[in-house]
Amino acid sequence: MFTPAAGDTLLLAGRTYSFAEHPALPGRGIAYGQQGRRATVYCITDPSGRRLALKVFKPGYRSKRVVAVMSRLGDLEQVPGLEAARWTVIAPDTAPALVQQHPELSYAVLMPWQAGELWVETFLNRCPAAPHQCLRLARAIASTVAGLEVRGLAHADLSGSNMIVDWSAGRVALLGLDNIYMPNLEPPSSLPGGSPGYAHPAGVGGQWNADGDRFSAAVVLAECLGWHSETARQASAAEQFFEPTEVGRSSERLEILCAALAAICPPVVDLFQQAWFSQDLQACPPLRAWAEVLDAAVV
Amino acid sequence: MADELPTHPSGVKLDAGEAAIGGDVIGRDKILQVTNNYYDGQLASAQYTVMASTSTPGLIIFVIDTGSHAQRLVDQRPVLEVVKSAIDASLRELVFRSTKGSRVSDRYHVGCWTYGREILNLLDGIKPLSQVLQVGFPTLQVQPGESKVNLYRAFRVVEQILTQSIRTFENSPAPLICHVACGEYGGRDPGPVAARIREMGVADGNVLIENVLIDEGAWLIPVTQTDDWTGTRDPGELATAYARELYQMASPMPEQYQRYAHELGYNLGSKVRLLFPGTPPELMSLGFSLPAATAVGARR
Repeated sequence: MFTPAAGDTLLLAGRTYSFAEHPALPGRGIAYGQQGRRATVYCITDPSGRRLALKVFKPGYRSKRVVAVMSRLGDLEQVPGLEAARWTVIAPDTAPALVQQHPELSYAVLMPWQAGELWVETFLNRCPAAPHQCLRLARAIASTVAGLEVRGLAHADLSGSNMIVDWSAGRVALLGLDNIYMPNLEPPSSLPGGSPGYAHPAGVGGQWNADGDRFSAAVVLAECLGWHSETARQASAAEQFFEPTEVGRSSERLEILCAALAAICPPVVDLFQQAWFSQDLQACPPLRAWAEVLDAAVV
Repeated sequence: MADELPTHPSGVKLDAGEAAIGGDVIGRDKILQVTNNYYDGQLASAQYTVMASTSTPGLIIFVIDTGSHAQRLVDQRPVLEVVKSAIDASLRELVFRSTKGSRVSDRYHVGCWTYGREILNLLDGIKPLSQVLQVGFPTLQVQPGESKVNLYRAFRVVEQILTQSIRTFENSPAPLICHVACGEYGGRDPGPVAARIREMGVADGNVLIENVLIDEGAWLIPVTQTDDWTGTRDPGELATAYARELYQMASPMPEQYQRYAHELGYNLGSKVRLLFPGTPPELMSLGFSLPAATAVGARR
């Protein structure tokens, strides 16, 4: 297993990168890593001190498919919110010495580190947000996901751990783009089924399709827009607004959130409820509908 | 930076009916007794699906043999040093799984008791992971004395701890007892206590007991290749009586854990027990990394 400690170094293309220390555990020698189901993302720094993200896949998910994904990302990094699409893949043929030294780094991905808070930290920190901040951030999120939709693409796993937000600047950055849906791209070995609290309750067929973001984006946007409400913040679950078991059902939390939405941007209540009670992803409103409503709402 | 889930297993109805082999008694929500039979895999696949979160934290209790036989060397290193390294690696992994942005969420709670001449409560009870990491996991020290340690007493302590605390984890993943044995034990038979512990449970499933056995001679066919090791599914694979007892005390491996091991590149088969060799050390690390198997997932 690849278990780097803080301060360990990697030599890649003649440059030395260091594993950053975990900010919550200073002095313990623990690297700054965040693990998901398929990979661990480490924060590393280059010689100039610039931070980068190194995504190291577990053996069962290591595949040269990431090279194909990288070749298809094209200029997506130019799209606001998709800056993390600037990739360098550590492949056996492009970095043989490093891969020989650390076989675990086969097909790892190096990408820009995104500053800000993970979306899940919104719920963990419970910091309040003003209505104009909610509207501005929601508009940025809607613009990004609608931008994917108009290209026939989908992130396929929008969730609290796959989005970095900056409330004060009204910016979003999507992470976890290795599972992005693109037409004619080889599907991942296991199709994204969505994350707890954000996956469509029907769940059949997963989210790896052109409509894959419709439900999860509706939940994220409703969470964002409702966060201005103190009542909604107090009613929120621990790591997302809804408990996973509540998704797609009527509940007191749903009523509270809809009331918060009605107070800030009434047209989104219908959009959200249409998605929430939909039979499947295709029955959810297209993301451009959210973008249009929020464009009109933000002065 | 969470990821998608592998396709989750199809739900399997718990319906042993008349075909139960081995005398299992299967209730609506609870396995009263688990033996090695056809239904083990099915039982495992239907439970152990709750994800660890701050509101439903996972509970992991380490129970470590620090008796005099823990003084020997494994791979030219003191046994307890190897164990400590594996625990540290496991805790680091739990930290990575619990890290959200710049903070460590308390998705796991950890306890550790060692047993040798006496039973020591190393972490002063059960603590959130972040608190354990703030001070660091303590060094494990051999307790010289009697050659055979008293596992019965250690499991009795665990039973008492669980009795006091398990309701706190009612909505959490099923608690995991991670026991490390360094050699043969003495005293009363710990089997009945282990059975009682396994009968305790939360909504997600019964308490799991995982045994890591550091004894190069315990497997009839020595385990040398980590990638090819398929797990232990029959007590007949074991060379000693106490290893076979540890097999009986170990829980069947839930399918969730098995899948996680596959993701890590291991080739564990179905219907194996949570019984791992301490050598090669990679397999001990695998055993210690399994608590992370419950950490994520949209299991609907």
